[in-house]
Amino acid sequence: MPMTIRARSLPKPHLALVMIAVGVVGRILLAGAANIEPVLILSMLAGALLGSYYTIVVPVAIMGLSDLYFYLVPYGGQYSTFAILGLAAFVYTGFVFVAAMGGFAMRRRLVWRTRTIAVFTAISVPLTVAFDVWTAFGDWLFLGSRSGLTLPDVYAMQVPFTLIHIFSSLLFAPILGTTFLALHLHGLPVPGTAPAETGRAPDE
Amino acid sequence: MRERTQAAVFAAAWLASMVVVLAAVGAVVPARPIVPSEVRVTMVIEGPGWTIEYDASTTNGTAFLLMEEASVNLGFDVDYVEYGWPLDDVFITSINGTRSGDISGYDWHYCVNGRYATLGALHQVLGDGDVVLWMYAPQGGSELCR
Repeated sequence: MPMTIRARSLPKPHLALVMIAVGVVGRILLAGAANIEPVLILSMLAGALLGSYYTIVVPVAIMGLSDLYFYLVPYGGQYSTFAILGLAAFVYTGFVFVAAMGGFAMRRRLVWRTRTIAVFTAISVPLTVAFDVWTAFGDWLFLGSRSGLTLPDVYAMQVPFTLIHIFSSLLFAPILGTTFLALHLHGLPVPGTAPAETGRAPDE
Repeated sequence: MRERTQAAVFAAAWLASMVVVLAAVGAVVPARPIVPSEVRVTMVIEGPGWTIEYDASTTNGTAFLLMEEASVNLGFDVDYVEYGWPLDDVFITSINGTRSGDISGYDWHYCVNGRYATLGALHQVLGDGDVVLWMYAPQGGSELCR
Protein backbone atom coordinates (compact mmCIF):
# COMPACT_ATOMS: atom_id res chain seq x y z
CA MET A 1 0.00 0.00 0.00
CA PRO A 2 1.59 3.33 -1.00
CA MET A 3 2.47 5.67 1.87
CA THR A 4 1.80 9.37 1.61
CA ILE A 5 2.34 12.39 3.79
CA ARG A 6 -0.78 14.27 4.71
CA ALA A 7 -1.16 17.45 6.72
CA ARG A 8 -3.09 17.48 9.97
CA SER A 9 -4.16 20.96 10.98
CA LEU A 10 -2.97 22.13 14.38
CA PRO A 11 -5.49 23.94 16.58
CA LYS A 12 -4.24 27.14 18.21
CA PRO A 13 -3.84 25.66 21.73
CA HIS A 14 -1.63 22.87 20.31
CA LEU A 15 0.48 25.33 18.32
CA ALA A 16 0.83 27.45 21.47
CA LEU A 17 1.99 24.39 23.42
CA VAL A 18 4.60 23.59 20.78
CA MET A 19 5.83 27.20 20.92
CA ILE A 20 6.03 27.08 24.72
CA ALA A 21 7.92 23.76 24.66
CA VAL A 22 10.40 25.00 22.03
CA GLY A 23 10.86 28.24 23.97
CA VAL A 24 11.49 26.62 27.36
CA VAL A 25 13.87 23.97 26.01
CA GLY A 26 15.63 26.46 23.72
CA ARG A 27 16.13 29.03 26.46
CA ILE A 28 17.54 26.44 28.88
CA LEU A 29 19.83 24.80 26.31
CA LEU A 30 21.17 28.16 25.10
CA ALA A 31 21.62 29.67 28.58
CA GLY A 32 25.42 29.49 28.32
CA ALA A 33 25.44 31.90 25.38
CA ALA A 34 24.29 35.27 26.70
CA ASN A 35 21.37 36.77 24.73
CA ILE A 36 21.16 33.94 22.22
CA GLU A 37 17.56 32.92 22.79
CA PRO A 38 14.45 31.94 20.82
CA VAL A 39 11.88 33.56 23.15
CA LEU A 40 11.70 36.94 21.42
CA ILE A 41 10.98 35.37 18.03
CA LEU A 42 8.48 32.91 19.52
CA SER A 43 6.73 35.86 21.22
CA MET A 44 6.48 37.62 17.84
CA LEU A 45 5.12 34.42 16.31
CA ALA A 46 2.55 34.04 19.10
CA GLY A 47 1.29 37.54 18.34
CA ALA A 48 1.39 37.07 14.57
CA LEU A 49 -0.02 33.55 14.22
CA LEU A 50 -2.20 33.10 17.29
CA GLY A 51 -3.14 36.57 18.49
CA SER A 52 -5.73 37.16 21.23
CA TYR A 53 -4.72 36.07 24.75
CA TYR A 54 -1.90 33.91 23.34
CA THR A 55 0.00 37.20 22.95
CA ILE A 56 0.36 37.14 26.74
CA VAL A 57 0.11 33.41 27.52
CA VAL A 58 2.92 32.16 25.26
CA PRO A 59 5.74 34.55 26.32
CA VAL A 60 4.73 34.50 29.99
CA ALA A 61 4.52 30.67 30.02
CA ILE A 62 7.93 30.30 28.33
CA MET A 63 9.58 32.74 30.72
CA GLY A 64 7.73 31.52 33.80
CA LEU A 65 8.59 27.85 33.28
CA SER A 66 12.21 28.49 32.32
CA ASP A 67 12.69 31.06 35.13
CA LEU A 68 11.41 28.46 37.56
CA TYR A 69 14.24 26.20 36.40
CA PHE A 70 16.91 28.94 36.39
CA TYR A 71 16.14 30.43 39.79
CA LEU A 72 15.74 27.04 41.46
CA VAL A 73 18.76 25.32 39.87
CA PRO A 74 21.77 27.31 38.58
CA TYR A 75 21.00 30.71 40.13
CA GLY A 76 19.42 29.41 43.34
CA GLY A 77 19.70 32.10 46.03
CA GLN A 78 21.98 34.26 43.89
CA TYR A 79 19.60 37.19 43.52
CA SER A 80 17.24 38.77 45.98
CA THR A 81 13.51 38.23 45.49
CA PHE A 82 13.11 41.99 45.00
CA ALA A 83 15.66 42.03 42.15
CA ILE A 84 14.15 38.89 40.54
CA LEU A 85 10.60 40.24 40.60
CA GLY A 86 11.67 43.70 39.50
CA LEU A 87 13.66 42.43 36.52
CA ALA A 88 10.96 39.90 35.67
CA ALA A 89 8.38 42.68 35.42
CA PHE A 90 10.47 44.39 32.73
CA VAL A 91 11.44 41.21 30.86
CA TYR A 92 7.93 39.74 30.81
CA THR A 93 6.25 42.99 29.76
CA GLY A 94 8.99 43.40 27.15
CA PHE A 95 8.16 40.05 25.58
CA VAL A 96 4.42 40.74 25.72
CA PHE A 97 5.07 44.07 23.96
CA VAL A 98 7.09 42.23 21.30
CA ALA A 99 4.26 39.70 20.86
CA ALA A 100 1.69 42.49 20.51
CA MET A 101 3.84 44.33 17.98
CA GLY A 102 4.47 41.08 16.09
CA GLY A 103 0.71 40.62 15.82
CA PHE A 104 0.14 44.24 14.82
CA ALA A 105 2.79 44.12 12.09
CA MET A 106 2.25 40.62 10.71
CA ARG A 107 -1.34 39.43 11.12
CA ARG A 108 -2.47 40.66 7.69
CA ARG A 109 0.63 39.34 5.91
CA LEU A 110 0.42 35.63 6.72
CA VAL A 111 0.90 34.03 3.32
CA TRP A 112 3.34 31.31 2.31
CA ARG A 113 5.81 33.65 0.61
CA THR A 114 9.47 34.56 1.04
CA ARG A 115 8.31 38.14 1.50
CA THR A 116 6.43 37.18 4.69
CA ILE A 117 9.55 35.71 6.29
CA ALA A 118 11.70 38.60 5.05
CA VAL A 119 9.34 41.20 6.58
CA PHE A 120 9.10 39.15 9.78
CA THR A 121 12.92 38.95 10.04
CA ALA A 122 13.34 42.67 9.32
CA ILE A 123 10.75 43.64 11.96
CA SER A 124 12.49 41.48 14.56
CA VAL A 125 15.54 43.79 14.56
CA PRO A 126 13.90 47.03 15.81
CA LEU A 127 11.76 45.00 18.20
CA THR A 128 14.93 43.42 19.64
CA VAL A 129 16.45 46.88 20.14
CA ALA A 130 13.23 48.18 21.76
CA PHE A 131 13.12 45.14 24.05
CA ASP A 132 16.74 45.67 25.12
CA VAL A 133 16.24 49.40 25.75
CA TRP A 134 13.29 48.57 28.00
CA THR A 135 14.94 45.69 29.91
CA ALA A 136 18.26 47.55 30.32
CA PHE A 137 16.26 50.29 32.00
CA GLY A 138 14.85 47.67 34.38
CA ASP A 139 18.34 46.29 34.89
CA TRP A 140 19.56 49.75 35.86
CA LEU A 141 16.57 50.35 38.14
CA PHE A 142 16.89 47.11 40.10
CA LEU A 143 20.62 46.25 39.88
CA GLY A 144 22.76 48.92 38.21
CA SER A 145 21.67 51.94 40.23
CA ARG A 146 22.49 50.00 43.42
CA SER A 147 26.02 49.46 42.04
CA GLY A 148 26.50 53.18 41.52
CA LEU A 149 26.06 52.91 37.74
CA THR A 150 24.24 55.64 35.82
CA LEU A 151 21.65 54.88 33.15
CA PRO A 152 24.04 55.92 30.32
CA ASP A 153 26.66 53.54 31.85
CA VAL A 154 24.17 50.68 31.70
CA TYR A 155 23.17 51.48 28.11
CA ALA A 156 26.85 51.68 27.09
CA MET A 157 27.52 48.28 28.69
CA GLN A 158 24.40 46.93 26.97
CA VAL A 159 25.71 47.59 23.42
CA PRO A 160 27.55 44.26 22.87
CA PHE A 161 24.65 42.33 24.41
CA THR A 162 22.17 44.04 22.11
CA LEU A 163 24.33 43.24 19.09
CA ILE A 164 24.37 39.60 20.17
CA HIS A 165 20.62 39.74 20.69
CA ILE A 166 20.14 41.13 17.17
CA PHE A 167 22.27 38.27 15.86
CA SER A 168 20.07 35.85 17.80
CA SER A 169 16.90 37.33 16.31
CA LEU A 170 18.35 37.30 12.78
CA LEU A 171 19.30 33.66 13.28
CA PHE A 172 15.99 32.43 14.68
CA ALA A 173 13.48 34.60 12.78
CA PRO A 174 13.67 32.75 9.44
CA ILE A 175 14.15 29.31 11.03
CA LEU A 176 11.31 29.47 13.55
CA GLY A 177 9.25 31.80 11.34
CA THR A 178 9.24 29.37 8.42
CA THR A 179 8.60 26.36 10.66
CA PHE A 180 5.68 27.83 12.58
CA LEU A 181 4.18 29.59 9.56
CA ALA A 182 4.14 26.22 7.79
CA LEU A 183 2.52 24.55 10.80
CA HIS A 184 -0.04 27.34 11.01
CA LEU A 185 -0.93 27.48 7.31
CA HIS A 186 -0.48 23.86 6.22
CA GLY A 187 -0.64 21.82 9.44
CA LEU A 188 1.58 19.09 10.81
CA PRO A 189 2.85 16.58 8.23
CA VAL A 190 1.97 13.06 9.34
CA PRO A 191 2.40 9.74 7.53
CA GLY A 192 -0.77 8.28 6.12
CA THR A 193 -2.01 5.96 3.44
CA ALA A 194 -2.97 7.04 -0.03
CA PRO A 195 -6.71 7.24 -0.52
CA ALA A 196 -8.14 3.95 -1.86
CA GLU A 197 -9.14 3.68 -5.54
CA THR A 198 -12.88 4.10 -5.75
CA GLY A 199 -13.44 3.59 -9.45
CA ARG A 200 -14.58 0.11 -10.63
CA ALA A 201 -13.22 -1.66 -13.66
CA PRO A 202 -15.77 -1.63 -16.53
CA ASP A 203 -16.03 -5.43 -16.75
CA GLU A 204 -16.61 -6.01 -12.99
CA MET B 1 10.55 38.90 -9.07
CA ARG B 2 9.96 35.15 -9.09
CA GLU B 3 9.56 33.37 -5.77
CA ARG B 4 12.80 31.39 -6.15
CA THR B 5 14.78 34.53 -6.94
CA GLN B 6 13.23 36.28 -3.94
CA ALA B 7 14.18 33.34 -1.72
CA ALA B 8 17.77 33.38 -3.00
CA VAL B 9 18.06 37.16 -2.50
CA PHE B 10 16.60 36.86 0.99
CA ALA B 11 18.96 33.99 1.94
CA ALA B 12 21.96 36.01 0.74
CA ALA B 13 20.82 39.14 2.61
CA TRP B 14 20.11 37.04 5.72
CA LEU B 15 23.58 35.49 5.77
CA ALA B 16 25.26 38.82 5.00
CA SER B 17 23.39 40.60 7.82
CA MET B 18 24.45 37.93 10.31
CA VAL B 19 28.08 38.22 9.21
CA VAL B 20 27.94 42.02 9.64
CA VAL B 21 26.40 41.73 13.12
CA LEU B 22 28.94 39.05 14.12
CA ALA B 23 31.77 41.34 12.99
CA ALA B 24 30.29 44.16 15.09
CA VAL B 25 30.08 41.81 18.10
CA GLY B 26 33.73 40.83 17.59
CA ALA B 27 34.68 44.51 17.50
CA VAL B 28 33.06 45.37 20.84
CA VAL B 29 33.59 42.21 22.93
CA PRO B 30 37.02 42.04 24.63
CA ALA B 31 39.38 39.48 23.14
CA ARG B 32 40.90 36.67 25.18
CA PRO B 33 43.77 38.17 27.20
CA ILE B 34 47.40 37.35 26.64
CA VAL B 35 48.63 36.19 30.02
CA PRO B 36 52.14 37.34 31.01
CA SER B 37 54.80 34.67 31.60
CA GLU B 38 55.14 35.03 35.38
CA VAL B 39 53.99 37.64 37.88
CA ARG B 40 54.26 38.18 41.61
CA VAL B 41 50.75 38.87 42.93
CA THR B 42 48.82 39.02 46.19
CA MET B 43 45.19 38.03 46.66
CA VAL B 44 43.04 38.76 49.69
CA ILE B 45 39.56 37.25 50.04
CA GLU B 46 37.31 38.81 52.66
CA GLY B 47 34.31 36.65 53.55
CA PRO B 48 31.80 37.10 56.35
CA GLY B 49 33.99 36.60 59.44
CA TRP B 50 36.96 35.07 57.63
CA THR B 51 39.89 36.18 55.47
CA ILE B 52 42.15 34.22 53.12
CA GLU B 53 45.46 35.63 51.92
CA TYR B 54 47.47 34.21 49.06
CA ASP B 55 50.83 35.44 47.84
CA ALA B 56 52.42 33.80 44.82
CA SER B 57 54.71 33.96 41.85
CA THR B 58 52.51 32.51 39.17
CA THR B 59 51.89 32.02 35.49
CA ASN B 60 48.12 32.03 36.19
CA GLY B 61 48.00 35.73 35.48
CA THR B 62 44.28 36.51 35.49
CA ALA B 63 42.03 37.16 38.49
CA PHE B 64 40.10 33.94 37.89
CA LEU B 65 43.10 31.67 37.22
CA LEU B 66 44.77 32.99 40.36
CA MET B 67 41.61 32.22 42.35
CA GLU B 68 41.58 28.66 40.98
CA GLU B 69 45.27 28.22 41.81
CA ALA B 70 44.74 29.49 45.37
CA SER B 71 41.73 27.22 45.87
CA VAL B 72 43.82 24.19 44.92
CA ASN B 73 46.91 25.20 46.93
CA LEU B 74 45.03 26.33 50.06
CA GLY B 75 42.20 23.80 49.85
CA PHE B 76 39.00 25.87 49.65
CA ASP B 77 36.09 25.55 47.24
CA VAL B 78 35.21 27.94 44.43
CA ASP B 79 32.00 27.69 42.38
CA TYR B 80 31.22 29.72 39.31
CA VAL B 81 28.86 30.01 36.37
CA GLU B 82 30.54 29.81 32.96
CA TYR B 83 29.42 32.04 30.11
CA GLY B 84 30.22 30.82 26.62
CA TRP B 85 30.64 32.69 23.38
CA PRO B 86 30.88 35.61 22.95
CA LEU B 87 31.64 36.57 26.55
CA ASP B 88 33.82 33.54 27.40
CA ASP B 89 34.00 34.47 31.04
CA VAL B 90 32.89 33.34 34.48
CA PHE B 91 30.82 34.68 37.35
CA ILE B 92 32.02 33.47 40.74
CA THR B 93 29.06 32.38 42.84
CA SER B 94 30.74 30.86 45.88
CA ILE B 95 34.11 31.04 47.67
CA ASN B 96 35.01 28.88 50.67
CA GLY B 97 31.37 27.87 51.13
CA THR B 98 29.98 31.42 51.09
CA ARG B 99 27.49 31.66 48.23
CA SER B 100 26.08 34.71 46.45
CA GLY B 101 22.75 35.44 48.07
CA ASP B 102 23.48 33.61 51.36
CA ILE B 103 22.97 37.08 52.75
CA SER B 104 20.25 38.76 50.68
CA GLY B 105 21.76 41.04 48.04
CA TYR B 106 25.36 39.99 48.73
CA ASP B 107 27.68 38.85 45.93
CA TRP B 108 31.37 38.33 45.33
CA HIS B 109 33.08 41.45 43.94
CA TYR B 110 36.72 42.15 43.24
CA CYS B 111 39.11 45.07 42.97
CA VAL B 112 42.62 45.24 41.51
CA ASN B 113 44.99 47.72 43.17
CA GLY B 114 42.04 49.50 44.77
CA ARG B 115 40.03 49.81 41.56
CA TYR B 116 36.66 48.13 41.08
CA ALA B 117 36.83 45.51 38.35
CA THR B 118 35.35 46.41 35.00
CA LEU B 119 36.17 43.08 33.32
CA GLY B 120 35.12 39.51 34.01
CA ALA B 121 37.64 37.69 36.21
CA LEU B 122 38.83 35.52 33.32
CA HIS B 123 39.70 38.57 31.24
CA GLN B 124 41.33 40.57 34.06
CA VAL B 125 45.07 40.28 33.43
CA LEU B 126 47.33 40.78 36.47
CA GLY B 127 50.65 42.59 36.41
CA ASP B 128 53.70 42.23 38.62
CA GLY B 129 52.97 43.47 42.16
CA ASP B 130 49.19 43.64 41.70
CA VAL B 131 46.92 43.18 44.70
CA VAL B 132 43.55 41.51 44.10
CA LEU B 133 40.88 41.98 46.75
CA TRP B 134 37.74 39.80 46.67
CA MET B 135 34.97 40.81 49.02
CA TYR B 136 31.54 39.50 49.91
CA ALA B 137 29.43 42.63 49.85
CA PRO B 138 26.11 44.10 48.77
CA GLN B 139 25.84 45.71 45.33
CA GLY B 140 28.36 48.50 45.12
CA GLY B 141 30.91 50.08 42.86
CA SER B 142 34.22 51.82 43.37
CA GLU B 143 33.41 52.64 47.01
CA LEU B 144 33.83 48.93 47.81
CA CYS B 145 37.54 49.10 46.98
CA ARG B 146 38.43 51.97 49.30
